Parts: sequence; structure tokens; C-alpha cells
Amino acid sequence: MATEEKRSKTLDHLPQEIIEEILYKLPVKSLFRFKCVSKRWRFLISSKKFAQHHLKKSRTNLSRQKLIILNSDVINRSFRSCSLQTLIENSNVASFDHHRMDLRTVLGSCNGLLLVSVDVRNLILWNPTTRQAKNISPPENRSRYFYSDDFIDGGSFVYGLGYDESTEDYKVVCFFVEYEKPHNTTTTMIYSRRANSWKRVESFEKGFFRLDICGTFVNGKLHWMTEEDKNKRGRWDIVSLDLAEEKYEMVGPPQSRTHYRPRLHDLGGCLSLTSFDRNLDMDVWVMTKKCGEAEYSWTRVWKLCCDMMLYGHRGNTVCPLWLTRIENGDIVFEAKIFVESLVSPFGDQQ
Amino acid sequence: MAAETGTPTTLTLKSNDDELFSVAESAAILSVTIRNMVEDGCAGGVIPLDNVDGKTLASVITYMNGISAIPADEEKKKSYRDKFLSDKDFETLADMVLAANYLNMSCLMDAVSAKIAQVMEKKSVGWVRRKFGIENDYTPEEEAAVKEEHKWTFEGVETDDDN
Repeated sequence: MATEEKRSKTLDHLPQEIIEEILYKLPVKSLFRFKCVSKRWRFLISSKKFAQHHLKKSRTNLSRQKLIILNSDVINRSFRSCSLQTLIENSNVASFDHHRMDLRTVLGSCNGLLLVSVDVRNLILWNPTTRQAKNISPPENRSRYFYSDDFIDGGSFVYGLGYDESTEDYKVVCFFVEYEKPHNTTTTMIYSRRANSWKRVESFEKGFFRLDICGTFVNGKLHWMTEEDKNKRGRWDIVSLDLAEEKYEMVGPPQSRTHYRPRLHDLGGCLSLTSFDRNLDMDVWVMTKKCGEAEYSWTRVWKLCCDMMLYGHRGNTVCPLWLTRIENGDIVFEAKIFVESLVSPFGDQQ
Repeated sequence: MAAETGTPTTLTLKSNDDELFSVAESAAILSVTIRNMVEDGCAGGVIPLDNVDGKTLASVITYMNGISAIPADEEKKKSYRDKFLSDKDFETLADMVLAANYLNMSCLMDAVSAKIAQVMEKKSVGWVRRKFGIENDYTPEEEAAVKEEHKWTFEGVETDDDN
């Protein structure tokens, strides 16, 4: 009995910071259940600060990062996910999470939130882990194509989802490109989760967006690939949009090399580029900025032979499935990944 | 007390229930608390650790010796930590996390809190309240409302093993 008493006393006296340290390491499902433990725990788990710390821990935990697997069947659309840890440990993945969402495509992923489209015009900001979803009404648009049924023939959307740390706000960027006018007129709108509305911003005019590719969010900036001439698949560039300042900046791709099927990725918080060479081997580049220098530089971190890769199909081209750097080496590749988080699509609770 | 050059220095640690332990200084300084004492010259004689009991301290020292014998290989260190914690019960883990916090050993702190989280993951709300000594301050109606809001998180909960 004496030891029993002593022991329960020890647990009673776990300092708050240790309890928090333990809770940060729990999955979202357990945390939601443990809101029932006490009012204090509920308050703690619901707080914005807790969600931020939890997200920070989850980002470095492969069990909390999920690969999105979309069923391409048009009639029976479904969405599954599995943890990267499971993928590393066992390539014959058996444990999937099934998500109830009739979605068309995933347009962005940031801090556990996904931007998904359910039909051509309607978007949802969705946290698959907490199962919270918020409809985003489409931006007002004066284009006659936008509201017509056949507007896909006349224009196209390019999206991006990111987080603006300066205002602690999630933003969706939407470029609406109209083909018919001379030079592809682009209308650019930014949606703020906080304001729950769209506003029109200055458009990028130094190139044409690659229409099939969504923005890559790295370090407060969304990145897209652009082309000098929409009719010639040749010279391409990278443009970034700073979500705090809402300013565009050109980011030169790695020089002196021919890149086939270039794609942008977030590799552990750095902008990364994968491209294929003439032998279909893949180069993985990472953009780094030296301390105290303004200029960015590209470093090739890996070269992967094509038989080492696990491919996924996107349109009629192949792209790497998942790309990450783990402590002990070079592992498999990119598709859309989301991290388990408490981040709410509705905004902050306090 | 100073050791001769070339021979490993040994420290004597004292638990709060007056047990004495000898440990190589090179292993003991994994604890920032102990390292600071050594650097401040307070390590001559016996180092009293007022917040750690003998049973827990013995365990921590086993860990210190085990982990410091592994060369810089994060993968091997991780598997050592996993193995070291695999047979510890919840109460022992709670004692360890307190000791790791007091001794300022971040790698142990991280590993033990992750292990505790792993044990808790599928437990019931009642189990957590009992283990953490938390009083339920909800009215039955309030609790039912919170539960209703997150109904899906109550699927797949393990049956309590502490009754």
C-alpha cells in the first residue's frame, strides 16, 4: 500500500511542462479523446499554442506524416492515407486510413490542412486528421468563362496553399488564366482564412504558369514553375510569392544542365527540384542560402538511377512518389503528403 | 579527489533515499545538471541528487553507461533507447521522466515521454485520469457534450488494464 500511495503521488506531481511534452507526442485522435479528461486538459489541447508545438513535433515524426492515395476511379472516388513510417518499414502497406471526402483533386498541403477541389469551382479547406472541413466559396470573377459550364475550355486555375506567419493566417492563392485574350490574361486572387474572403492582387506578368502544377510552399513562400513562352516547352523558371508581402520574385533554376520533367518539392523545409537527365536518371537539387549572403544556390544532393525509383503517375508523365531526407540516408519519394495536426480550417479558437 | 591523468574519473552519486552509486564521469555528464556541477568544481566527494530515488537512479545510470558506450551512431542509439524502455511499466516511466527532467537529459526525456505517449495512445479517459491523478471536473452533461463532439475518437480504445 505504501508504495502504491507514493507512486500515485509521483504522477500527481508531474509538472505541467512534462505533461505537455508527453501530450505533444500523441496522435490527434488520442488528444481529441483526452479533451474529456478534465476542463484543464481540454483548454490546453484546444489552445493555439499547443497546436503549434504539436505540429512542430509531428513534422519530424514519420508516423505523423501521411501519404495521400487517391482512387482515380471517377465514379467511386475515395481517399486513403498511410503513414510514411509504415511505408519505410513495410512496402506491402496493409494499414490505410480511409477518409470520407468525395474529392476531385488535392491542390495544396500545409501544416495538416489540405486544399481540395470537389468540383471544378468549389474548394474545401480540410484537415483530414480532425475531420474538419470548411467550404471556400469561389472568388468573384468578372470573366464570362468563370460562371459558364464550358469555362474549362476558356481558362484554367492554378492554386497554392500556404501559411503567412506574420499574420498567423492560411492563404489560398488562385491564378485564373484565360486563354482567349492575347497573352493569357491572368487574374490573381488571394483567400484569407481569417477574413474568410478573397481579394484581388497584382498578377505575375513575366511568364506563363505551368497549368498542371500546384504551388510548393516552403519558408513562407509559394513557388510555381513558369515558362517564357506558353507555346514552347523550353526555357522555364521558378517564381515565388511571399505570402506576407504578397510580392513575386524570380528564383533561377539550377544552371548548365538540361532538365526533363522538372518538379518542385518541399524537402525538409528547403525548396527542392527533381528532374530527369537523358538517361532517365533523376537528379535531386536543393536550394540553399549561405549565411549572410543574399544569393541562393542550388546543390545537387542525389543522383538516382531510374531502377531505384518508385513511380506514381500524374497525367501521362511519371513523377517521384515521395521525397524526404531521413537521418540515415536517401529514401523514396514525393506525392502529396500531409502532417497530422490540430490546425483548424475555421481559424483559431483563442 | 582528483584522478590521475589518463585514468577515467569516477563520480559518486547519492539518491534521495541515501543509496550511493559510482559512475564514470564521461557517462554521468550526459546529465547537464551533473555536468554543471562538475564544471563548477562541486563534484568532489558525493553528488547529492535530491529528487531521484535509488531505484530510478540505478536505472538512469544503466542508461548512461549503455548509451555512452555506443559510438556516434544515431540509429544504434535509438534502438538501444527503445530496448531499454521496452519493459518499463507506466509508473517507472513516470519516475524516469521526472528524473530525466531534473537531471536535464534531453535525449532520455524525449525517449521516455514518447514511450509514455505510446502507452497512452489507445487508453480510455478513465485510465488517464487514474494514472495522472486527475479529478474529473466536468458535470456529467458537460462531459457527455465533449464526448459527443469527438465521438469518433472513442473508437478502438483498449479495455483498461489497471483494475
